[in-house]
Amino acid sequence: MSETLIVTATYVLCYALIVAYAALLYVRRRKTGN
Amino acid sequence: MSRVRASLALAAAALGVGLWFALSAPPDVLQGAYSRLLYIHASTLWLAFLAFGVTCFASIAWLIRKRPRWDRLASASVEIGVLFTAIGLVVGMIWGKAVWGIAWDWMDPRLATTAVMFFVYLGYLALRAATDDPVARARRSAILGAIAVVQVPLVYFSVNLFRTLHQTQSIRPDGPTMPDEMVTALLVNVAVFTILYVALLWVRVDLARAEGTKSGVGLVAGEAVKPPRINEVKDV
Repeated sequence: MSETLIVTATYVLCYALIVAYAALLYVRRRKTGN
Repeated sequence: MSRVRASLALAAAALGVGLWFALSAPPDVLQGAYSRLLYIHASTLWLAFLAFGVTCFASIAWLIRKRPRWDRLASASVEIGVLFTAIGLVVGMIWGKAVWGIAWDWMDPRLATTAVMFFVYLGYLALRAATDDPVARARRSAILGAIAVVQVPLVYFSVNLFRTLHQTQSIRPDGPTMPDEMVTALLVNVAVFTILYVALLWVRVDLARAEGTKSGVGLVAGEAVKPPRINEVKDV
């Protein structure tokens, strides 16, 4: 596997984790209301 | 909710800027494109140090003032810190496998102390989940949050105190060991991840406050009881 592919895949994985966490917080906040 | 959306949108925009700087930075002569992993690895672990420092401050504030908001701030900061320590460790392992030839070495003090720090703060979250009483939960986690921060300087200076596989700091008091373009990309990403941390922390604390208000959990005993005001009492 090329260097660029591994680096890109790592960035995609990390950013996906951060987005998933932010989305989880957002959904829980919407369900809570207030 | 609009402020939550605005915080998350700001964080997403900041991440885009950081990604552009990271991918447009020049590759290292020896490591090639792998050197670009530095911008996410160092930034996420910097953010974890900041998060655990904030937890220590909020934990001490709770022990002194006993206000639920300090407990919410401390626990929210740990949650984000643990997430970013995990990301930093995974990126470091991928980078280590590519550059050192091995993903992990328990004999390396930087790697071992970072792993211990990760598990201690994971234990903090487990301790909170295992304690039902809100005041006991806040007290126990505040004591742990105030003490566990000693690991942060230990992790940071482990590369200076011991001879390790892990390199020493790239930005030092006597000047950086990298070209200016790489230093700029690193500092921009550190700033971006700090903005991301503040945005996520704000949303997480707001969520904890909303959930606590809804269920009554997280309030100090008696705090939810509001005495009637004289103008609300009629026909007595």
